[in-house]
Amino acid sequence: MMEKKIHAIALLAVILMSTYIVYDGLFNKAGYFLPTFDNSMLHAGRARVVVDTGHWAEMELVFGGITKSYHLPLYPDIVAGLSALTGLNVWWAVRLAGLLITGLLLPLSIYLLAKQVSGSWQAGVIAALVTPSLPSIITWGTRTSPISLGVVLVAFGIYFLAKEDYWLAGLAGLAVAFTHQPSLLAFGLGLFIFFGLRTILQAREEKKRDYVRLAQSAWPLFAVGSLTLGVYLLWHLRQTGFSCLDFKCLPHLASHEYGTSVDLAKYLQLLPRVLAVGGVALVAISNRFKFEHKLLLFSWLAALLILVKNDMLGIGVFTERFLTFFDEALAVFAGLLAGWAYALASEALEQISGRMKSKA
Amino acid sequence: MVLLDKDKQANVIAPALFLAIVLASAWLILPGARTTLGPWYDPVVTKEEVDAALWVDKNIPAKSLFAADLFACEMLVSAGNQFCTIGGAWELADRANTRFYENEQAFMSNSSEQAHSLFVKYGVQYVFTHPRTSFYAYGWKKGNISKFEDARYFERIYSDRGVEIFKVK
Repeated sequence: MMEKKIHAIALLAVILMSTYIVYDGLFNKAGYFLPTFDNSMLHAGRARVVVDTGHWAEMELVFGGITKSYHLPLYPDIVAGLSALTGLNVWWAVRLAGLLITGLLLPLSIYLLAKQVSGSWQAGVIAALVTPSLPSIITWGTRTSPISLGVVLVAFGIYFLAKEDYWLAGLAGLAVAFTHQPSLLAFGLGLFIFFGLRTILQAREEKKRDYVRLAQSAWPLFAVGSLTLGVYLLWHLRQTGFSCLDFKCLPHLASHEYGTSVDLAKYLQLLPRVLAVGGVALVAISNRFKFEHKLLLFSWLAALLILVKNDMLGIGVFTERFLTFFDEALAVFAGLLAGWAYALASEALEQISGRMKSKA
Repeated sequence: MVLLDKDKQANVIAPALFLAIVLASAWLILPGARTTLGPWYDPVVTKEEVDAALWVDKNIPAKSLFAADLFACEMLVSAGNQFCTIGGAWELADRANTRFYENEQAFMSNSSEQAHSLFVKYGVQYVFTHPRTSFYAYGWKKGNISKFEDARYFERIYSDRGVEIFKVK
């Protein structure tokens, strides 16, 4: 009973800390006159179009307002929805969305994911606790723009996959597909690698060559991936027609936007990122984790590594921005290490206490 | 000697220690997170610019085309309900690099005539200026904004605390 109370207090403390950080940014820094900065103003502008007209901002608001927008509709629709539900104007709705998405849902999603794969609430709390101390997630991941929602949806998506709740994983995938393209890659590539590895490993173990059973096991993941990717491709076709099937019409690719090479060895040297390295080693060698969860975590991590180091594949786009999602995984792995350390310390305390009692 | 009861140890002491560590860590993490976020949440645009955009929202037809620096442009589309010449979202933009370059040229040029012809080329109806260092396309620069006082090409329609709006003739 006492442990449950402490669990609740610890989680609440972490959520309050996260909420305070967002509040401080929105109200004390940017928000004394507007809760937006840089291109998050564009997303507030899109939300305003929805509020004012009831329709999605089909055209881009900058560069003359003459070309179709490539931005996805869910984030401005959520802001507009909050405005309609609460009666707040668009600026207060942006603030409310920031507090809900980054203050509440970000720590909650990271907590649930780490707790699900480890079975330890302490791992969940520590993962959520260290999240705001990771530089990329606290900067890119907390903007009042679609990336903040994307970061949360990716964590929820991986959590639902770990829980084997494929309906909700599909829903998270669908939401990501309508939110933010880099988030879609961070979720979709991880899902694809997980699907491939799991299917190959199951096929190798399937001695009776029961392919029907194999297909039955594989189809939910396939369905989640197909839904996520299929919906996005339909959107892409709607906005660009058939002239951009290779995505080369997007200037980010040509200009290698945010595409400098990231020195991961240097990046991982600092606290708490170095704890995450320990977490990765722990998950690899420990039998405390289910094999399926190990496979999922390492598939996700592999996808994020590919995205962060995409310059090595000759692409060199958004490498720094993908660190946002990499930080999410680091938070989870750091939490897993802390959860394991807590269990170890707790067991040691129990043994010492038992010995003292038996001596007495 | 006080003996620890095994259940008490498992159910209270260890979780309580854990909670203390969480609270102490949160206390340590908080200032660092605030410091990291400080410059990130900086809106760059000033209160005076936002006030001007709110004036625009009330006094200028919605979705007119403005020219400004990147940060003012992005603010104008939301607070002022307008279109603007440049911005951070250049996914499907029409000749984005040319537009960036010529937007900067129009603000940096000494010639009011050249600025006017560039604005006319893109159908710009209003020019939004402010005294702060700006980001017109490539790096932080001080624009040459006194040329917009040339009444042959521009008409001042707003002036308050350093922020000025000109109608392109």
